[in-house]
Amino acid sequence: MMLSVRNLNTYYGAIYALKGIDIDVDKGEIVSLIGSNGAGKTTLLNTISGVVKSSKGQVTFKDRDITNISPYQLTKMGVGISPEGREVFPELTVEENLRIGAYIVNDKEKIRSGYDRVYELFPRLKERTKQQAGTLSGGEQQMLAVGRALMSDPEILLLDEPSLGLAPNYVTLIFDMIKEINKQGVTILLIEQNANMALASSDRAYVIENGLVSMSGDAKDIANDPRVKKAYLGLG
Amino acid sequence: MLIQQVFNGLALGMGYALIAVGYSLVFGILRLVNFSHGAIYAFGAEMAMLTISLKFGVLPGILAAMILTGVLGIVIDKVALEPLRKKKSPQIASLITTIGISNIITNLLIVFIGSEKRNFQPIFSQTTVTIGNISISMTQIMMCIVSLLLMSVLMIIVFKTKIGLAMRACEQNPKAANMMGINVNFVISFTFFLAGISATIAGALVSGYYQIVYPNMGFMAGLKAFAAAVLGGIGSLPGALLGGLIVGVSESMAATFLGSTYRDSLAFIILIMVLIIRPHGLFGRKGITKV
Ligand SMILES: Nc1ncnc2c1ncn2[C@@H]1O[C@H](COP(=O)(O)OP(=O)(O)O)[C@@H](O)[C@H]1O
Ligand SMILES: [Mg+2]
Repeated sequence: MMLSVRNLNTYYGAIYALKGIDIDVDKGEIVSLIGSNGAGKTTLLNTISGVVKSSKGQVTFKDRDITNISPYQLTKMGVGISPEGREVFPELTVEENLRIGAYIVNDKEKIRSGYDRVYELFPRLKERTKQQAGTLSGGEQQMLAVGRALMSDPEILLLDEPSLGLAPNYVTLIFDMIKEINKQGVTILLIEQNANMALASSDRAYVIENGLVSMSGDAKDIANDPRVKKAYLGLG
Repeated sequence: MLIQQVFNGLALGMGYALIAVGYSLVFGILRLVNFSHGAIYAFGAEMAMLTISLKFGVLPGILAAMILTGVLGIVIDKVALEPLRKKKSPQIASLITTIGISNIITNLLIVFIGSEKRNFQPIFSQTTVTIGNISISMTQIMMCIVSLLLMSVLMIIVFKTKIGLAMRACEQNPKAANMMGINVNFVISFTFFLAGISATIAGALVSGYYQIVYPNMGFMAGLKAFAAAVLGGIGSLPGALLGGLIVGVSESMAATFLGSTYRDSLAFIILIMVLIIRPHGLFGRKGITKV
């Protein structure tokens, strides 16, 4: 397994947010985590990345224990993060935001090819290299957040609700890009409320409810499950 | 007379500007007014006095004082402020901590060096240039040159280097910076180091100018420099420069034309008036003062 989460428990003070979560992501996969608002998806991502500390359990990445690591050490290990709410640097330009994404990279040639890769995936960003990120549209900021995470040339990308609040044409574009990035060899853990799109784009999926995994399996099977159809897909 | 006072004020204002950048740099990254910065400035001046007296030369002496004071800034953050950040303490806890640190530094200086005012040797040649009825001392000219040079170096660091980019990223979104591989605590240490260096240069210049040094010298100077930073727009380096110059010139004018009783208040009157018109200061950005 590339990324394994075992019995992960997280509290916010007295709030018990993750109650023993197990998930696995294998090299090359797109795995999605779906679940309603407040289920604990972001908490799971933040606990994996060390932004929030777990009280119990273990996270391993490529067989190395990374439980409660400092977030800044993750990039060096090959983990790229596009956080919930995009979190771009509003007063830095598009190019500077991308440069920050490659902060740990020292090889100029590698940084260059990072820009090329991102601009090829998202030509809209290329037209706006000198624009302040805060003045971009929501969709463009999302592209920037994903692009920034790619700049360190990660082996796995953790994406938290990349389609949140985007116009439908952007939603399609972002999901297409995620599949394209996966084809380039990047493993993807995708957190989504847009269960339809997420399940259609993924290999496997986990359903998170109240801080627990309530269901897991092939994305197709999950999408066809009557309970999922009813609760998350607006069907049935 | 007027022009003469403007020149005197500009030289003095450069000193304030160099202290003000320390407030601005730290505020930018931590959204915290570091009230120990005035004491750090005094520490820098005292260290310069000490290291220069070791007779390795003035420049090596000041350089050593810069490093010592920069390290003091790092130590203050590591020992007293970083633990508070780790515990996500309210900002008011950090604020009172910086006030406490200020008193501790001043107190230690008094214990080890004594509270009396001592003579600081001039660092530049004592010659004076006279144009018409205005006379400018070499010290004043050099104060301006050195300050502008340091300001330029700081601007280059912040806007043209990788660590400067990291400083700006941490200033805007420390959580995201951390996720992108930036060791935010290292960047904060670096910022305290820069602030300490600038304060030492200010300390050496101003002490050399007045030829006097004492542990409490940072109190009023620190407050005025803080006023200068807010006046210019805290977080902005050009703002710190402009604010410092305004405070310096107004102080010099007040002392001459209103009498020395008004020396310390005119700068604050200007500060209040500017803030009523421009709440974020002259070069202030809305985003940065919104905590
Ligand atoms: N910083 C926080 N402090 C306290 N409680 C939080 C915090 N972040 C999230 N929570 C709580 O933890 C639970 C899970 O939230 P979250 O992980 O954000 O859910 P999701 O991403 O699935 O919408 C919710 O009950 C939420 O209110
Ligand atoms: Mg969430």
